[in-house]
Amino acid sequence: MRTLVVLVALLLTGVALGAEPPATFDVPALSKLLTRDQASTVRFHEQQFRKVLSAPLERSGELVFQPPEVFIRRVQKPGSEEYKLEGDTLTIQMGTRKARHLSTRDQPLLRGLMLSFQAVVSGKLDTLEPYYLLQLTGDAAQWQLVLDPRDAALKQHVKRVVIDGRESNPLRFEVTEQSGDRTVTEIEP
Amino acid sequence: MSLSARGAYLTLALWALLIACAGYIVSQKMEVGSDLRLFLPPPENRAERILLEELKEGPGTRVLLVSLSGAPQAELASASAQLAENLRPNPAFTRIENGILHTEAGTEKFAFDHRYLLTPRASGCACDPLSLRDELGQRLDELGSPAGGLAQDVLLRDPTGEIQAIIDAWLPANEPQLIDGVWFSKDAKRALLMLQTRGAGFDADQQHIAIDAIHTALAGQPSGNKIKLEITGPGAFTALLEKNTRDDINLLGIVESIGSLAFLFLVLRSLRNVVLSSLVLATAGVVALLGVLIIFKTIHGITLAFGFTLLGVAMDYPVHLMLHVDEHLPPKRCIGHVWPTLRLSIVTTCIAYMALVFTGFTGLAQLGVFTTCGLIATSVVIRYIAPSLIADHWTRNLPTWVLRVEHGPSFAWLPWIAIVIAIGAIAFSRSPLWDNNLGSLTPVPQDLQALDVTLRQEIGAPDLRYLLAVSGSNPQQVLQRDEALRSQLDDLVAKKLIAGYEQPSNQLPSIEQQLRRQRQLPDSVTLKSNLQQALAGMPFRSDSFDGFISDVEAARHAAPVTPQDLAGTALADALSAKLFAIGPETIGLITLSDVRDAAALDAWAHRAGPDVLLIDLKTMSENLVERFRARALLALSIAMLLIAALLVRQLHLRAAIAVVLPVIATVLSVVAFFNVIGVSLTLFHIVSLLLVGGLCFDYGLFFNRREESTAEHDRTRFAVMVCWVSTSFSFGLLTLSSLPVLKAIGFTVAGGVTCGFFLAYFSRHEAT
Repeated sequence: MRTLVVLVALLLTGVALGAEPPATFDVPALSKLLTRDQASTVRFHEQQFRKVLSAPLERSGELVFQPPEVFIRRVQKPGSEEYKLEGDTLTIQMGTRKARHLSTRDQPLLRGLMLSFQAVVSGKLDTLEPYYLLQLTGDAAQWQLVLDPRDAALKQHVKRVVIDGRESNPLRFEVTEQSGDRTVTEIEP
Repeated sequence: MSLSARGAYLTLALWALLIACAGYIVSQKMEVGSDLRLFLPPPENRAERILLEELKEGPGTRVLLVSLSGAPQAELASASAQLAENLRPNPAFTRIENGILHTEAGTEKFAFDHRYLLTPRASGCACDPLSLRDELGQRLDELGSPAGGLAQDVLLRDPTGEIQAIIDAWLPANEPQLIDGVWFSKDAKRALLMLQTRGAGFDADQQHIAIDAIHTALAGQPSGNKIKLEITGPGAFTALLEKNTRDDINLLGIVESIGSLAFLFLVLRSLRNVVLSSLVLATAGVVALLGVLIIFKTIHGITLAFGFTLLGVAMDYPVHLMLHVDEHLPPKRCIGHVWPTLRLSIVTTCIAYMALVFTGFTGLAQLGVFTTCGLIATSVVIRYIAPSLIADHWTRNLPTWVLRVEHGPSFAWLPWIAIVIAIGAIAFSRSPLWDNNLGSLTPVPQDLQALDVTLRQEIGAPDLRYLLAVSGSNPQQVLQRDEALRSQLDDLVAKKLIAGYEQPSNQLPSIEQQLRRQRQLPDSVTLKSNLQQALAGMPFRSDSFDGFISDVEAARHAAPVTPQDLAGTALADALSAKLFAIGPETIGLITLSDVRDAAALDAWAHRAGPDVLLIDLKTMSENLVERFRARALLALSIAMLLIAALLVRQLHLRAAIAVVLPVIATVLSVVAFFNVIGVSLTLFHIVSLLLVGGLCFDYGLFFNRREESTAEHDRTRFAVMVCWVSTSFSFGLLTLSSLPVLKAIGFTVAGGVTCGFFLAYFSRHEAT
């Protein structure tokens, strides 16, 4: 009798010790999930709903990430445009026109907006801290990250950014502006 | 009866106190100017007027070029960006460019509000249906870009993109490559920045403030210590030179003062007399400063430096007085004895220095007043005050070696030989006698100059030597002419005569052009209908462009923008540097970068019309220096004649010749010496020679005066020797300086007085 109790106790202890506590799925965990070391290319499809437009504006093309700092958005339909963000410099090439350079350092608004995208793709979610309040729901299989701007200048323009994803792939970005205009970008991993 | 010892010391102490107070008050109220134009002749033509304006306010002279190197690219890029950010709010700078064009908000808003008048586009606003459609298509693309929503308002009010066209026109023609958003050199090893200071290029104080700000800003950055910072440009050179000069002068000045005082003590063997001598000199200095400040209110830095140099003559007078005192000649009687010679010396020197006043250059006039006041003060003090302060029974016994030296032989023909050799050497030498380069007044180390040329080419900063000037009777006329030249200028770039250019009309188009644009703007009804046509098939809602329509309508009735309207924006500064009035004319300056063929450019300027001028700052400034020198030498020659006349009246002819000839011989010998070794003479040499002339003249006067006894003759010899040694020592010290300017002055004076001493002694006229 006593042996049985001891054995059962040992078994239970073993079970207790062997089983890991359920992992909390928090922002650092998502960060880890999303971090990419290698270059990657995905296709995207974007729709902009704006009050000044009578129909949504559609764009589709490729998004390229070259770690650690280069993001390229290549629009292939309609027309051809390329936006390259390298560190703080944004290079815009619209069709055959002369390439234009902008520095995001001078424009915190632009930077905040670009960051919401960059941070998720590269996995460096901590860079969002100064600009947004982060709220994560769901688990590794299916998650949703909500970004509420905390920076005053950003807040004047952007109401909220919602990112939906599965596992290590962000699948949908939705940027809602204070004016009510929305941009929805869907990504094919 | 001279004062008792205690009375004398008390007087000396009071005098010292008085001088110290006066000196302090003067130095507090003194404004030291640095406007080089005080030393340049008045302009004789339009080109020279522009040159003088350029020297003072020229945009090129205020540009500092900065290079950051010695660290990995990313660090350099971030350092450059942070540097720009830190320095932008600093009032010492009016413009900072390090890569992507930075326009401050006020300027952009101004340009936006007036975009339909300021647009560089020849067609006005591209408001016909076809162009509108094209533009709208592009705006749609932009709206679809990552942050398109941010620019939405601007997009809708400016669908034809005028503000972008205006900003594009502000971009410099050739830019260095952009890496990480900042400029980098071709080999990508240096991050480059271009800064424009508020202070003038040759205002050393302002430049120091600006340069210190740059160093501080870089040092404050995390990796700031690792990065090598190099700054070039006229302002940087000025600051560097001023600091080196000041450092050297401070050090040498201290050594010289101590040395001179020690030597004087060795000679006079009396502390009281050394103090007296020093006070004489100090008084001369203070009175000289007061004289200039009362008449001119400010004093130029160069005047200050030269003035004290020339006052060196005053150092000899107390020595002459004191060394002639002996038991037969107490101080009060002695002064009566040496006074005639001293007076002659002072009067002739004053004539020479006063000649400077009559050259017409304010800078030289200041110098003349300074030295004359100083000398008059010296003479008053020596004549009336000094003798009472020397102890009654004090005398300096001559050292025995003086008595043992034989009276040397005297060769009247000696100076003639020296003169002939000197003239011969100058005639046969192939180096130029005069250095006309204005830049020699502020010589810059070679490697720094080379770096400046490199950076200037990389950044496309304005050429420092060549400028195009367009003249007209009013600003609008100049702007119109400037606009008309644009296609020809583009031609010059295409033909590679120049790498690029910047025009005043880039900053602000003429009223005529603005009105032309205005006339091309359609009225609301037409515009609305054009817009409707263009919008067909586009997803824009038709009421989205109401702002655009009302803006165009407002622009149709708006008043054109004049230069005065720009006040408060960055455009105002940029424009006023390039468009200004000189007398009744208005001049517009077109800065050029990398001029490759000046002759062809000049030919083009001639063909373009009488109102277009290529200005060669270097050649012109050399002409100015030449004219300056010619006038100065003329005035001095007249002074020489007056002096000669005076001499002949006071002394008899042979003595007069014996005094004057060695001076001429010495000056010519020094000039010949420099010429033979290949050194061209600058303003500094001329002033130094003026001092040499004065000192040798004194030697001659004393060697040739009628003496009553051998003992007196010995005393005279001793006194002049002391003067010679102390002058050689003081100026010989300057040759130790690393600065060419100070070295030149040192060699000239030390060498000159040595040569003069021996020539004067060995050619003296011994009256029988």
